[in-house]
Amino acid sequence: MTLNDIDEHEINVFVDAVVQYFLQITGQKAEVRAAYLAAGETLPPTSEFTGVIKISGDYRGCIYFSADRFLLSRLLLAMNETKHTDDQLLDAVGEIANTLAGNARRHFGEKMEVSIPLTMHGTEAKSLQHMVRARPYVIMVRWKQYEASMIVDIRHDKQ
Amino acid sequence: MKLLIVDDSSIIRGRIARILSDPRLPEIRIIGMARNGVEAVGLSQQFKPELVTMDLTMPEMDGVECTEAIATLNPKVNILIISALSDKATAIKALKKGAKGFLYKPFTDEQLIQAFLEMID
Amino acid sequence: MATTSTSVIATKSVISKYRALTVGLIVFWTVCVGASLWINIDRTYRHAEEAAGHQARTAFDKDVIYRRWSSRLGGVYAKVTETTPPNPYLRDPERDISGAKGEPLTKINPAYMTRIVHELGELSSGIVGHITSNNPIRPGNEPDPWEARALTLLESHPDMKEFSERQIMNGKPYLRFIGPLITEESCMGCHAFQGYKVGEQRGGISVSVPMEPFLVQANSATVFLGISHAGLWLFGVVFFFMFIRNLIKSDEQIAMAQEETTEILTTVHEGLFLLDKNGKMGTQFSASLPGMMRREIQPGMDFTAILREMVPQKVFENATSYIELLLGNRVKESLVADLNPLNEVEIEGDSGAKHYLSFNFNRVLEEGEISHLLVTVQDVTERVYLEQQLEAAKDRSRKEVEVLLNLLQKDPVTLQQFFTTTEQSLTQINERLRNDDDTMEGRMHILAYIMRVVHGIKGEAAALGAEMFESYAHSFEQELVVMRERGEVRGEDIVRITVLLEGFYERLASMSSIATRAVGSPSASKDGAAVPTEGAEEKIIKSFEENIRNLAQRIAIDDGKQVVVVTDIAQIATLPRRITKELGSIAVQLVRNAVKHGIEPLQDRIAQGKSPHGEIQISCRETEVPDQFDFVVRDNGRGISVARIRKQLITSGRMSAAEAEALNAKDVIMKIFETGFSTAEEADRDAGRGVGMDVIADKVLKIRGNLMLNSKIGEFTEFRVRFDA
Repeated sequence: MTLNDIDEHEINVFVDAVVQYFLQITGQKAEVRAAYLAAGETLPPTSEFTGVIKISGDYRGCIYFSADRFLLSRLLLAMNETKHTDDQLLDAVGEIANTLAGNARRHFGEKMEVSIPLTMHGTEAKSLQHMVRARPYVIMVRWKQYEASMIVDIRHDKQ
Repeated sequence: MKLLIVDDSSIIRGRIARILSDPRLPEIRIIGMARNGVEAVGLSQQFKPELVTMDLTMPEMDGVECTEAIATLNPKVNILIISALSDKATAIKALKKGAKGFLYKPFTDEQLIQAFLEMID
Repeated sequence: MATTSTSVIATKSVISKYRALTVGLIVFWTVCVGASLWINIDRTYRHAEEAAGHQARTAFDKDVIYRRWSSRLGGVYAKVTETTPPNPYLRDPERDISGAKGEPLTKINPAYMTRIVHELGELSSGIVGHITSNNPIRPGNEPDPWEARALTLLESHPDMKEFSERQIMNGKPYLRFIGPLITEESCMGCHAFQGYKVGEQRGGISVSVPMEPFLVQANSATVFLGISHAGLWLFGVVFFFMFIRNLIKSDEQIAMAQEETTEILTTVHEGLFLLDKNGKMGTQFSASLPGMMRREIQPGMDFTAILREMVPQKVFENATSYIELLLGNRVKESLVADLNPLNEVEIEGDSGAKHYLSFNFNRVLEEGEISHLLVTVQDVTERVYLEQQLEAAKDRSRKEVEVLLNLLQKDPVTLQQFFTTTEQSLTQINERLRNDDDTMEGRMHILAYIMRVVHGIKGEAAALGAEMFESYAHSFEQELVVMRERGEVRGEDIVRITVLLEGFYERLASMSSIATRAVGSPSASKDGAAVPTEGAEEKIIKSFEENIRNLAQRIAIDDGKQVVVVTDIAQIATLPRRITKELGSIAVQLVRNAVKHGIEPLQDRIAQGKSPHGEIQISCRETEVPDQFDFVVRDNGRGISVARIRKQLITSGRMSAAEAEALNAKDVIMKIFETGFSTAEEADRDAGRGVGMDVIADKVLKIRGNLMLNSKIGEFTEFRVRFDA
């Protein structure tokens, strides 16, 4: 019915990546708390630590994963890491972004070229603009009592 | 080689005339342009062209009959039918009556040249 | 691999087939060569014999001639010597005479002469001559056993002129020849008294020719024959072997080629067969053909008969003409390919579904002449289906655009209204999604809400005749129904809903842009928005009002409150579209806020002595400053409480008590425009997530306006957006 270029199939690849990641690392799944469209001009506010993967090929755009230090600290704890410096928190979010990238490559193969994840801290992320979609998908993810956001801003250029 | 163009469209006539200057084609001279069947048969009798292009989509002429007439007059003539694709049945009839080849509208210049090359072969 | 082993087997059987042939040929050849050799050797020796016999005969004839001569002479005399003594057996008075000098001369009678000559002859040539008879006069003339036999043979067979035979004499091979001595006239002079008769055989002369020289020659000839025949035989055998090997090789090649062809025909996906000039199919065809054509195929079947069953009459006629043309010489194959009438033949599928086959024809030439057509059959069902779908889709979008354009012509304002309303509705849905509370109950509420809104859009679309929207909304609604039936809304359902929402947005956007473009240039203002025609102004205002009212009512109903919306927005009509668009959204948010937070529930209002209905005033008026407008949403609800806000700031953890106390009233109020703020005591489904305000702030920024807030606790809350148009 939907002739959308992106549908839940693509989005779920990324959602599953996050859910499974948390499950594997911590034994507890992450869950979709909410999903909506970012209909303003700027992207919805992101948290302090953000991981980005850039997409090219048949698809183009970006996927962002943004979480605050509380979630990331708790995550590091679950990984038996005791040091929780900003750099390590940044690494942790980068890891998640890496997982997204890996899942993307596995599912979409040649159609989707995925960049190495970038990480951003704090204010840099606030200036994220819409890249390709008029209304990027925002998936609010909850793990334990923490929340993170994943922004799916990709288009599929068919033909 | 002598060419008779049977077509009521000046655009098509112009196109055919233009592609004749392509280096791949041998010397081809247009001996006449007929707009209807009577003209066509008359010119073909008078000049005995080796090549004829016949548009089947002309309103006031039965292209099949005309093909038959020209082919009877000159059994060695090479007639290229030009027609719209939806009219397969008529085109096949014309081929049966003596045409050698078929080109469908719309066609590119390159397709026209290729068709001529095949006809001459 | 299967291929290798089958070809090995083929070779073995091929070889065994040829083994018999090879053996046969060799035997035959040997027999021939052997026979030739034997015959030739035989001939050689016969020849030798004949030559010897010839020599013997010649000698004999010579003897006879000399005897004849001698007897005709009447008497030949020779000097008497030791070697030629008088012949004691000659009874002739004239036997001894004297010569001119008185020397003794004796008569040499023919027999005597013969004997002397024979003796001389034997010395020089080895030929043994022997005058002999079965009743000889002279004892030395007695026949030996062979001569006796031969003479008797000659006597008993008077027509036999001679007799010869090979014999061994003294251990050596001789050809013994004997010829009869026939009494002649000239013999009678001396022999009459003996009772000889003319023509009678009286003994004979045997001539024995030594065979050795002849045999030597024959032997060497034989050796030569042997060698040459051997060579010939060898040559022949070699030739046969090579010949057989070539046969085997070409057999193998044929077998391999045949195998390859069979393999191709077995595996190829397409149906392949040859069509001859009589319309008959060939003996070989690809394995997939019967399945594809869904009938049994036998070699040599009549294709035209099959075709007649498969296609309608017209197509059949065209097809047979087409095939005829291709089989003929005149038409150019490449120039008629497009006329193929059989490139989409419908055929009954297995389960009743239709399948489509395409038949392609290519000429096959043999020595420059057209001998067959190669027919390729393919299942093009998928292509045809896709084409059909594409056509259908094109049809649909054409119809939609038609409807749209129709609407544009008839009633652009209504259409615009629909776009605006729908977009607002979608925004509302999005807001609800954003504020999702992922409890089971909360989500079911959201579901219900979205269903209502979508249902509303569906209705409006139907009223307009915008079928695409209507059916999309319907499908959307159906999916929501399923979720509701299931009784739960999971995370992935939320994602799905978001995707469906996006689909709605996109359709709306594309239709809207078509509409804008279609209305387009001539009447557009410099903002690119359509300047409304007279009468249309009213409509715009009306639709704005209606939307706001409907929205307010929806929320109020949800919340168990009662509200009345009062509007004074005539001047909105004069504003450019980009502003009215934002104002619309702002209004939506503010009104929602007002209903949710501002207006108190019915009971509370009554308790406070207020009217049971809350009132929301919306106005849009130009200020004293030209081209400056104030857009105001004011409710007579509970007002904004600074204290409550301050408390919320502390309890939500956004700042410490100290920091919160440090803020002045204005700053406190400004805080509500920041992300994440909310004063709703319990985050409920429509509000409480604190995101409505910053959307408003955003939009105000967009139109480069200022947002002002005025409020009195228990009495009113007023939001004012001041902007320049």
